[in-house]
Amino acid sequence: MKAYAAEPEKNKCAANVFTIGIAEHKIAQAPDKITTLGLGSCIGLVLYDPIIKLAGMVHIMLPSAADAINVTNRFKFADTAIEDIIDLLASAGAAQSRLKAKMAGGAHMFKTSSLLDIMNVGQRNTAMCKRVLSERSIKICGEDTGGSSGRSIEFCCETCVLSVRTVVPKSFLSI
Amino acid sequence: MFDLKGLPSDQLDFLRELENIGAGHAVTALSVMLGDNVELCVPKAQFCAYNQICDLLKGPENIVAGLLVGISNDLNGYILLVLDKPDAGLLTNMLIGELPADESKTEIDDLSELQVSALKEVSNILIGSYLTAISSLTGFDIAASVPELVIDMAGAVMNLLVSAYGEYGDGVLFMETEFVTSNKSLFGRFFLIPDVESYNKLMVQMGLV
Repeated sequence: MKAYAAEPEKNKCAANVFTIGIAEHKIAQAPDKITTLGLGSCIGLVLYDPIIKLAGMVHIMLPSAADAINVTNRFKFADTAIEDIIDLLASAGAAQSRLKAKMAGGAHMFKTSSLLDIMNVGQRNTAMCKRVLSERSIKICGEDTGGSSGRSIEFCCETCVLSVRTVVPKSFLSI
Repeated sequence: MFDLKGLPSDQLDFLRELENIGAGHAVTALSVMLGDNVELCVPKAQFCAYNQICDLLKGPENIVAGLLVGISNDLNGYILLVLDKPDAGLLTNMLIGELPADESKTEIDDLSELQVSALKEVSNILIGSYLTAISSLTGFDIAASVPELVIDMAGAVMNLLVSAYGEYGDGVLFMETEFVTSNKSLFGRFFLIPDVESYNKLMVQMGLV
């Protein structure tokens, strides 16, 4: 992993865009950006320290590691992923008291609800993220969750703006 | 503990065969409906990491039509039929003919209400024949729900698979079959997604455990 200096890099043209996949995570600092594509019931969660412009994004799949049969990757579950991202940010120089959160996703893609409770997973993911964040006293400064559209998100570490894009229907939102 | 990675090869072979028979029947039904020869590719049953799934569908942002049917009774889970968005439009045109330009559009992207309905109907028939074949092979009684159509990014549609198996490991059991029409213009995939309990039941029933 890259070592993060406390001072943001000066050259804005050299911004990297890191793309993360399902159950993956990335810590980045301004001027870099982090993106994740095609969120359905999954949640794209960003925790950031606005003062040093350091952010961590994680693509969360499921609400709780406690329900899981095998926990092979802690970044899959809302509860363990948030814990680990906080630790990673802290060790990269972020102050826990300054951390803020933005999140998007948690859509209800298929409405056939009479079957398994996995249908409801988007809603459960959202609820769990909120619960863990409030336990850690981290404020959610922006949120675009629920609905029935897939989302792609990009977080700009410089401006701390989360851009949310949907394709059906086409929309673009900055939170 | 259910270990998806450690599936014995005879179980995988059986799943491929199941996929082949199911999709074979469905494709025969499609051939009859379209009056065209539809070919089936060799089915795959493999363990697949999350992020590979979207690569198979041309990336997480590729727009696809996902038709989902829930199955219940002896087997629980889902069957998902995934078509590229342009192919979904083409399939409906092959069935009901080109629509007049002024046909009213629904909110589901740019498919008309009639096209959406035709797509659901064709998936009903396809998935119905798929299930009948699997049901007679295994002797299981399988009921299917009404199909549901979602048109969105492949990543978002495939989240269903990921969340169905997410609690068991780092990937999904991925069973797919591709079908193409004689002029290669249409391309679709079936995914059989049994829940883990049903999967075990299936293996016991077939004497593979």
